[in-house]
Amino acid sequence: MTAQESFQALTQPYFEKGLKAALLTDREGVVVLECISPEAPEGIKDPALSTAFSIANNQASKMGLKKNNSIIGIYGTHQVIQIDNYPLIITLVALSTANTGKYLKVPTGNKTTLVILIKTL
Amino acid sequence: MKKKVLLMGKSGSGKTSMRSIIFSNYIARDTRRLGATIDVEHSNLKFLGNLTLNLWDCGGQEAFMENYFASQRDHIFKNVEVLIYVFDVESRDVERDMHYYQSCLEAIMANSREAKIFCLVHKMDLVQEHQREKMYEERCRELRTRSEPLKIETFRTSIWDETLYAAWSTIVHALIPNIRTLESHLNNFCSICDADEVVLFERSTFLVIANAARINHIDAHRFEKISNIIKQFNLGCSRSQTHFKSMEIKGSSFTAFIDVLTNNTYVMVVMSDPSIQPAATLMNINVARKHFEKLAEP
Amino acid sequence: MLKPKVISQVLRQASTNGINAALLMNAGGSLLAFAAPSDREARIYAAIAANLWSTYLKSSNSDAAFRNEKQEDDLRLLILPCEEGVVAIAAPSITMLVCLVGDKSVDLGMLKAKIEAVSRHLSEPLEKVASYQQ
Repeated sequence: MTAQESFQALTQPYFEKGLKAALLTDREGVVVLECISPEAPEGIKDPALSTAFSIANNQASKMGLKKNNSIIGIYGTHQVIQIDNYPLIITLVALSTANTGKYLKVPTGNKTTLVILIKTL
Repeated sequence: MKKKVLLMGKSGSGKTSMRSIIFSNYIARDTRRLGATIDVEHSNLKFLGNLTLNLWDCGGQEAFMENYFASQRDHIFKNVEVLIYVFDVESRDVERDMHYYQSCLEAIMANSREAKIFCLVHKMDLVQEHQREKMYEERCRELRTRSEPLKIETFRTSIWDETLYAAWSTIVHALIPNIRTLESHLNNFCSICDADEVVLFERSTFLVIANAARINHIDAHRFEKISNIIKQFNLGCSRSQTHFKSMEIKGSSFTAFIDVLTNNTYVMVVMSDPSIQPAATLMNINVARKHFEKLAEP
Repeated sequence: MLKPKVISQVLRQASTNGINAALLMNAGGSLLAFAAPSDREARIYAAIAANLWSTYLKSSNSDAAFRNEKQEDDLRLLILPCEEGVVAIAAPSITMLVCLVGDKSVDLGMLKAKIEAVSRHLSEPLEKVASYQQ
């Protein structure tokens, strides 16, 4: 199974629950792996989102609450969930009405699979 | 709106000096350069945008004085809104001063019955400190009796301290047409932002126009002192070719904000509640700015 | 105009059930009012929160996806779960931000509901003030 295929397998159940896009990028926004549904907003691969995360993730870790793990940006119609998996970032895009908590469980529940995936890269 | 203001008094009593300090940014020691005023010097001083003070600085040498009461009588004393009469406290010929003063009042009564009259007992700094109060009281009493039936307001002044600002602030206060509205809005502003005090200054002269307070302060002359200090500071700024726009002064028990309010005014807001953030006060000043600009429109 | 004391009261009401700090600041990070254990913490939270917000705002302005339908799809809310607490930021008006800081026990859904409520509550008076500042 290629890395792309295993990423697809990993995220598939979430697409069934309304996920619009899943990306694995580095901190500059270079896409490593991607699964994007046709309904996803255009330009979701814009690297600006990943660079914003890497800056904000770093700053939020200085608030005295220890390390920042993830950032959820809720927009008018979409929400973008970015999860830190240093040095990579998982980005999930869903409708703003979707249940955020469900998606946040991605890294913890499937950590091992993901870690293997990241290592193989 | 143009308001005619007569500035009269004996030659050398200090009329032109005080005018130069208040309206032309002179500092006290620069006034030594001024010579005697010949005849009448007219100046139009824009004050608060739509109000113009048409100031007649009347040279006080006897030859001119006689002229004012005779051939120029109508020209000088018609349509006067304010008469400011300056007395040199050190004058040796008080009787003669009073004679001219009374002739002046007669002419005012005949030509401008409604004019407000202010008497300044000037050069008080030349009187020994312990005698000032007594001396001033005496002069006031005499002036009041001599002025009857007209009502007058008296001030003790000196170009070397804030008393000059106190007197002129009261004078211009009497000239501002919408002063009551201005004061009530200032009161509102003061209570909304939980300020101890709010003071409105005219922008170029830094004379106090109005104030609102929610506390009692022991120093009754604080505004004039501030006028004096800020004006000096502003002069310092203009020497280095700049103007100050705003400042924030933090004391141990209060914070004072001085900021441009409208085209013609500065506002000072004094806050003593430490739980109120400076940014909140600054924002409220910003909001008030629009409001007062509207109010200032003719 | 804003009555700072009334706003402080709203923020104090929000800082219960695991919310340790509630702040109102301008876009530059200057505090307008807050309820927090200390001035120092409040200032740090405000400075960082304003930075976080502007970082995301810039990114969404340059992001094609969110530029298309800018009006409907602009940034509404940021939630940042950390190891020892969670931060939420929202903009009740174009020039103002509110920020809530909670401990680990705070449920994300609750936090979201709370900041939306505070933001909604403050938005009308703040919009009015903002319209005056232009």
